[in-house]
Amino acid sequence: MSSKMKIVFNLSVVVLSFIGVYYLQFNFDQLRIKHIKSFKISTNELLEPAIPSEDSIKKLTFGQNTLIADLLWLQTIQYYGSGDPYGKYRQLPKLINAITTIDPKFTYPYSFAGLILPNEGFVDEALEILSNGEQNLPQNWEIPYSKGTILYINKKDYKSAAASYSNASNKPGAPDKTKFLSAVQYDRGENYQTAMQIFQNLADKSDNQYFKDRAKLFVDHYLLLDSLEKVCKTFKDKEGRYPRTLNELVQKKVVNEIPADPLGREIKYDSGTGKVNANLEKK
Amino acid sequence: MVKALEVKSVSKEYYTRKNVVKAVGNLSFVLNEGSVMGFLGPNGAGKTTTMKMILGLDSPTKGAIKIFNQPAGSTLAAKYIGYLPENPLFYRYLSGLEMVIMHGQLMGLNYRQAKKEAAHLLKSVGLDKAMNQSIREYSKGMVQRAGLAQALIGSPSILLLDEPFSGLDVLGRYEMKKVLLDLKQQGKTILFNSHILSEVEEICDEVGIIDQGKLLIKDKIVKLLKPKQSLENYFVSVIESERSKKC
Amino acid sequence: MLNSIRVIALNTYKESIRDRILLVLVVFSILLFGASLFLGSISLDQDSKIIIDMGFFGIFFFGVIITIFLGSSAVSKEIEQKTAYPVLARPIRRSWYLTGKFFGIAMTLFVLTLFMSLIFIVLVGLRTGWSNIDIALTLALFYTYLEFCVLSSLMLLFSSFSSAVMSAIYGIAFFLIGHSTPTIVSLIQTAPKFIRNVFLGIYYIFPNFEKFNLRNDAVYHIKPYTGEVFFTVGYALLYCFILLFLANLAFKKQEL
Repeated sequence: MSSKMKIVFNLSVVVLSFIGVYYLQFNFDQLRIKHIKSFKISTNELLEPAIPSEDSIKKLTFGQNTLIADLLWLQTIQYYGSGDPYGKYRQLPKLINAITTIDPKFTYPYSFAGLILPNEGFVDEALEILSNGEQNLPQNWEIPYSKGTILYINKKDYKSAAASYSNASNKPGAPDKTKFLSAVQYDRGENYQTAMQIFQNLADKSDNQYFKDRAKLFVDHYLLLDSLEKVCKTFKDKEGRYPRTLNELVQKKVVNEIPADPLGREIKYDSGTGKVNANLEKK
Repeated sequence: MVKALEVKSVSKEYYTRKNVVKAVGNLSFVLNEGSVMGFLGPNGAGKTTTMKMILGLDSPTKGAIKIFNQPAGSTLAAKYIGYLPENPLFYRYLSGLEMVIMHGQLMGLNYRQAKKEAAHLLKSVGLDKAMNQSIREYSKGMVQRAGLAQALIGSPSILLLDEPFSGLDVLGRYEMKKVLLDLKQQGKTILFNSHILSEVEEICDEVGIIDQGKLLIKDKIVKLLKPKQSLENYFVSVIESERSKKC
Repeated sequence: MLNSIRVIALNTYKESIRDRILLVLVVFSILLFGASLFLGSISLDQDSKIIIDMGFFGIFFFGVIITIFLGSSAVSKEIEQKTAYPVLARPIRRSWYLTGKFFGIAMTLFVLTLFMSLIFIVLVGLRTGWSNIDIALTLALFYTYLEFCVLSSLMLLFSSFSSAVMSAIYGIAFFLIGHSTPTIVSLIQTAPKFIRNVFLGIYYIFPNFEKFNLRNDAVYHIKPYTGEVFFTVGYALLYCFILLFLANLAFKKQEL
């Protein structure tokens, strides 16, 4: 064979072989997809990351904790971002737990857990992860803040939410909103004393104009309810009974008018006990 | 006569899992200063083992070796020795010059002295153009010659050369022979192993023939050879007669 | 004596640093730095952490490979290939040869670690801010170098009585054991008393490489206590001495 023919021959052998390789690989992939469809599970379920237990993973890191946490974190992002068609994301809490177990000071996964997990139905898991976060990062305000939000929105546990927000507000660098929200939750939980104290503090000392104004409204709101109650008491002392409605106070010219609530809430009055309140409807 | 090398009743036994291998048995000879001795023997006879014991790389199971009255293996004995191994492999990424300088420094020369002498020696073995190239790039013959330069640095009194002609072409062998004869003239003591009996015949005063760990003959060549007998013939006849004795 | 050690050390250094394989490994390390830049960009703003973590790992991982390679070939390869014979035939003691080898390897590792560290520092400074280059980070890099030194003296010990390949295998095994401290400690808790003592013994005798790992703390800018630094450096020096001493004992008896 002349040398040119040799080159052509060698080239053809290589090219044809690779075409064969492509053919085999392509058909292999097609078969795979067919088989998966027949099992009726999503690719994500097939490819879900298998996370070892908390105990095991601590022993498997060989000292490279922060790095493995990083890799698990990248995996978490890919896992969540890839769009599980069944929307289950079953491994998500386990993934984040693994990250925070081996790298307790890695802050971002805690925030991520607080934001994303409740949406995917993992409320208790989120709370557990955030509780671990509070232990591992005691100076961090965002973690108890996140916890407060979950307790408020998902669990409707206003008392615990208030405690969490309050906890957050004591951490260094905590913004005023943590204080404000703690007071709001105390209010919802009917702990008016504490709420009033916090709102008063914010109204006097806050640097943030928005919260200062809002806090002032709450303070005025409580003052209003308080003064209405006092007037009713005076009425009872004089007339021997509580007024039947608040309007009676206006009719009997005890007060000029019943002012509108600064917060815009409906003022409710119990003629039996003389108590005035403006609780929001419990849903 | 100063005894440059004295080997006294030296035996070397190796222990394997099954049995004991006697590499060298009851070897004794003396090499006087200024003599050139060829150490001959079939493969596996024990030549390299003996040389390693003289250098102190191995120690004999029985017996003692002395170099200029210093025990073999001590640093005092080593100061007298220049050694060229068989098929040497030197540090591949050093240049020939760097390698020989290193050996000079290990012999006690300071850097400047070592460099001067190394350059001179490498020139004299024909490597003056290649001395700054890395040994990686040397041909087999060039490595052999660099090895000879390394053996000569520090002006050792006794040279131990293991197959110094291996790897050399005809010209190379001629050069090596010239160098050895030159050294002989300078009064150096030389002991070398070789299979090239024609060169041995030309250079050596004495030969020692060793087979299966035993020293069969050691004497001046002139005394051993009959007129017109080549060393090769003599060697073969000695080995054959020894082996037939055993059967 | 010191002169011979110096000569051998310098020539070991020259020989090692010119070895092409080391260049390849260093290049791989730098490629890893590059990969960290990419991964950092898809990490939802955690690029600081990822660049620092992966950069550390690159220096550490490839440094360990280089150390095992250098250490296992330093003595055993030279003996197997008979390169060591002419050197040992010189007026030097075998212990000087070993010591020279150690310092030569330590010098090589120092230069390579320094090179990789400088690239790492520049990368971290440019991409994540120069404030991240603090004492904690520098100490972590220094401790990594200490680990390499202890590991290389361990490799020299193995190298002085077994082949190059077996030394590498032993070295990898000891390295993994030395990094398994958390595992050993947790096993100690739950096991019966006899086994507990055995594991405690293992913990104290085997080189505890984890103590040289400041990387997990450095990324959070946590410094070790000042006193601790002395204990760690002392541990490294003493351990190197012990291993080289044992290596010398093994090597003295070696039949070549």
